[in-house]
Amino acid sequence: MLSAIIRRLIHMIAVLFGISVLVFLIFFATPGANPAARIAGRNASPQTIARVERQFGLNKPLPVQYGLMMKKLFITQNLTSFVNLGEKVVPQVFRAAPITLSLVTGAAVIWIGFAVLIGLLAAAFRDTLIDRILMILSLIGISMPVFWVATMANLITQGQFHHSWLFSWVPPLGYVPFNTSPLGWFKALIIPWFTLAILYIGLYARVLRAALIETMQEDYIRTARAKGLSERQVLMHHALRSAMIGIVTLFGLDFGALVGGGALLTEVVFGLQGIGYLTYQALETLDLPMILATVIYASVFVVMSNAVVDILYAVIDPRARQAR
Amino acid sequence: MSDSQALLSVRDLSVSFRTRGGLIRAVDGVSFDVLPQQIFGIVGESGSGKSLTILSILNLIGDPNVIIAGSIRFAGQELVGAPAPVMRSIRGNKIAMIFQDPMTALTPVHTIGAQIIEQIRQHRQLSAAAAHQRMLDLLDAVGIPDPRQTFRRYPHELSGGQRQRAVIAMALSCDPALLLADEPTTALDVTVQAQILDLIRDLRIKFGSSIILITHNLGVVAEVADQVAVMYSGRIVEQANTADLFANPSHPYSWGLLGSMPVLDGPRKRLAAIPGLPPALDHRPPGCAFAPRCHFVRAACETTPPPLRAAPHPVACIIDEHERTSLRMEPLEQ
Amino acid sequence: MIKRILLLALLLAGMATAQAAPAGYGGTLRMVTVSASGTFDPQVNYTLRYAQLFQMLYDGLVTFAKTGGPKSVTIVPDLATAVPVPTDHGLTYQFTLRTGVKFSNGQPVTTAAVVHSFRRLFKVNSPNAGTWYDVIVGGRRCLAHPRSCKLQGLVVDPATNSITFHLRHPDAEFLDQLALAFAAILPVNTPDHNMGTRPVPGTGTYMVKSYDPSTGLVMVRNPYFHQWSALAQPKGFPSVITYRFGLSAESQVTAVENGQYDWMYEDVPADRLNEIATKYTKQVHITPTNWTLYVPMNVNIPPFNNKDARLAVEYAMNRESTVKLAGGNRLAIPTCITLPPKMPGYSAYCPFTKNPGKHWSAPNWRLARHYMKKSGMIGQKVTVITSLQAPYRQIGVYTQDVLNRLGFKASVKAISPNIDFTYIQNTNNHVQISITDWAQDYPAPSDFLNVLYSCNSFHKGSDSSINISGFCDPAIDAEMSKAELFSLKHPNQADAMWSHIDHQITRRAVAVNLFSFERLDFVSARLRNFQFSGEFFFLPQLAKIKP
Repeated sequence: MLSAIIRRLIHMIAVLFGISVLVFLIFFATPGANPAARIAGRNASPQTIARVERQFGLNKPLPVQYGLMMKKLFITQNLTSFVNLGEKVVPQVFRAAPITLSLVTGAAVIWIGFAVLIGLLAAAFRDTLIDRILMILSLIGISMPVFWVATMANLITQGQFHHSWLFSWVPPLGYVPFNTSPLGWFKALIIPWFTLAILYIGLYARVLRAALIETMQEDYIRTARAKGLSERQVLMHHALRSAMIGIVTLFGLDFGALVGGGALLTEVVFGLQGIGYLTYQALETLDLPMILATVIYASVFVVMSNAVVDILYAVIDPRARQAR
Repeated sequence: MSDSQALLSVRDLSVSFRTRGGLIRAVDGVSFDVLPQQIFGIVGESGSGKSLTILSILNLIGDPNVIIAGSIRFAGQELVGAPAPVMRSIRGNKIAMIFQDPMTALTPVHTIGAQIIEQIRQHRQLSAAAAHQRMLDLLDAVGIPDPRQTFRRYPHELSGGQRQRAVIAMALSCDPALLLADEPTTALDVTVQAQILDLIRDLRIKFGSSIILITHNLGVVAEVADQVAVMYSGRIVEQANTADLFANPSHPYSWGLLGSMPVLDGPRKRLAAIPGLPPALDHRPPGCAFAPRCHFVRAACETTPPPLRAAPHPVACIIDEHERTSLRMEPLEQ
Repeated sequence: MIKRILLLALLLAGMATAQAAPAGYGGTLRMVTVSASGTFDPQVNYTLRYAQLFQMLYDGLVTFAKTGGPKSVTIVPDLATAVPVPTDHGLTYQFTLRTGVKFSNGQPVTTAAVVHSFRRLFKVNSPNAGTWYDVIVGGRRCLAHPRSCKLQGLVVDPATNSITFHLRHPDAEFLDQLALAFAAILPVNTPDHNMGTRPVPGTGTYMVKSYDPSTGLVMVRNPYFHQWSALAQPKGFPSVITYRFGLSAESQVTAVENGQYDWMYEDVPADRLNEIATKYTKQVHITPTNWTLYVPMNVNIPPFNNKDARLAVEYAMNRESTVKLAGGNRLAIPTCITLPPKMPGYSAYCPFTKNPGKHWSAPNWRLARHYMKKSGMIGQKVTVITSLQAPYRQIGVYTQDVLNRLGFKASVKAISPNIDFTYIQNTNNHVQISITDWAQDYPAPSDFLNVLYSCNSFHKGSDSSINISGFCDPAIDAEMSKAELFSLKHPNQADAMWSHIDHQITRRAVAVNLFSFERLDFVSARLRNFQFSGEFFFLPQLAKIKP
């Protein structure tokens, strides 16, 4: 058990190291990315620029700069942004984390709920009109880019029909902390939740349907029927339980990636300043310290979610328990 | 034997499949009776239609293109065409079924205890505690060691033999009058096979159920069956009580089957295989289905399918009884 | 009886209203923008977004009048009692510090604070320490050794509150440079490093209550503020001003339409212009600015090291087309010269058009092709560098089209607006032609001509080489120095000299000047008294939102 944990930690460190080096190199390979002139201000004299370079260590060799930045990030924890000078990046990341968590968790509840419902219906009414309609809708859900859906949602709820009874309850774009107002938090998030969920509902419904259909071919389903169980019982207690295993794996990975900042398009269009938004801003402004902080945060989550999924696998699939 | 005594009465059962090429008959006009507390064996090679026959009793053929015709009467109730709720109340309750492969027969994500309890509570109004106790009793009755620990196990944690016992326990949980067993020992190794067969034999005594036992292994039939039906290409070609069948086989196919059985005593002979293969289901010959492979075929065999002749026991062959005996003694071709 | 009660009620009501705040004061002004704008240190930040805020949070010795209209570009006394005329042939400026002014932390404004603030300019790497404030005697030494900066040229006398600046040479723009936020007077204990995200207390009508670069800031009334000059630092009408970060420009427009915000910083995206012009006409304000869009051509590398090639482009570019791309004639004024129309020294002139004279009318393709042929540059590869933002990107594509029609093999590269400006300045990137803009620091012609075209502004291999074309003519430099000298004593003559310089540089076809921007402000329905300063743009403190 302990050796497994240590192995995972080493794995995580290797991943983080690789990613941070890659980000670092890409940044400095981008022409014009050197922040000294931008930090110094427009039309700064060469001396001013030189002084800024010395202050930020930008005249040191790359490996040294990398080492210094990693030290500031992890050890002394005072790594500051290149763009918003003086702003510590790590506290900003942690301030943004609950926003992303709120967005992603709510969306996850919605998408799992709907995906299971649609997948079950489609598998139960396989090859009928219901099935085909549901699968076409799912495909549409997958095909619509999330930033387009989000913009359309805004167009309707904030723009065209904002003053109608349908959408007058929709608050201005942005996040309302739960502590400030639980109802406000909910109202501000409900449309972003559905927007983010649409893609995943489509995907998961299709995956679940396929998994269910495959599972229904298994021998134990025939045994279950031979026991006198109704089709609904067979579907829900025997087929779904087995088919969900694949879904859970998928979910763990998707959730981890989203919490780490993968929902950035949704966050940007809805003005929710979570991790994805921070990442987006950092990339836009080429703010290397913030890029490193958000990318490493995301990597940590992805690696962690991989580990959690592996553990979860053992919990839900009894067959996997010995193989650990 | 009269209908009123039979527990299960199958008449002219045919199972056909709609395909692009037309209608394929996999089971063609099968008729037999099973008496209470009787072990009825059905033997035949793969593709003879034996599994489909018993699957159609419980309407468990999962193919939307299947057509089942004929009559299956169980305790006076017609099963062919019976509505789904009726079938559900019979399945696992009055008629139970166990399948060939214990590895895949149980749902891998539920404990065996939970799966047995599920069946019990489906058909009986028992409290959770009572159902739990019954489940433990069943596990004990089928010879599973330490039921109080084993019921928590998942199917993959048990050996093949234990799994099959658990499957049997589950099937018997509601005291079915009829148990359908589709090759219950085929997937097990030989020593375990013997134990399961013993168990099956005991079940008739302990639980009072009739059993239809499907196998391609004549040795199994010899061990446990009271009555045997031999199926070939979807039809029953011979039916007798076990002693009669082995003493006095009357159909050339049965002769072939018996000839291909290794004998423990006597000189070691080369096993005789019946040359050729059964006909493809969509290309059944107009006459006797076995005619292409029959050593003793004559012209009349190829025109019409021979009906089941009564004496000494039902056999579908036009060879006269007296001829049969002499033909039987001829050495078969190697 | 009832009559008496009614009378009493009326009397009380009358008293209550009399004691209420005078009309217009109160309420919360809500501003919105896409993101924060760098450091909140007024001596370092060099963005319009925050300059707009600093003008109501801080004061210098002098300032630009906080009002709308032409008066907004005049310099008025602020923390000093009067705007001095320089003595000693322009080398000495003497001010008297106003008394009784306090910072928002209660500390009084003293001559010590003034000294500390000017020394601090050199310690925190203020962008213009080396270009503007080094004119003060001792400034260059401070540049070299900031830690031990004494700035001998700044002499104060706490007893008489007198402040004297000694300059190395006369500088006509010294007062302008004192009027900007860089020269804000800060408390004497302000740390000697860039304050980053921690706002410094100031003397302005507002103070910062909270600032988070990710979410926004909140400004409230400075409790220690008493209005000493309505022109220099008027008491703000709103009681609270909030500035929210994080909405895209599109969302901002919708939010202002919905009345969720009162004013948005970003330009209204082109696809919404028609909507706001037709449905929200009363909420749209358009004002000319000293901000131009131009296309510098690199005169040191082919093909534009050849003057004929440059002339061909000048004659071929259709200023009207680019104006259309920028949103139409109400938002962009076509031009051929460097100085924008409202700038002193502006004199309309356009040689690169069908009927040369004062204004541009139409491209002259005949001449363009003639020069192109003469140049011998037909078939040469050219890459146009532009930014991803509108309208730069679209104008970049248009430029590519013109170049192709002239006979070049042109391609266009649009890069992130955050790095495009430094990218096109660095000669290591071999940028041949780019689309960029320039906005004034203060209304002085040298802020355009000297900054953009003097030899001093060109630095090889540096991200900060604002003379993007790489043009360097010592003769023109000498003329510019002369014009600067004259600005002090003979401003009208100086203006004429600057016009002349402008026209000369134009004829050299170093850059294609396209148009000057009109600024469009879209405000909420409830906002009254919209005032636009030529220096700071929209003045939030003068907006009235309380009915």
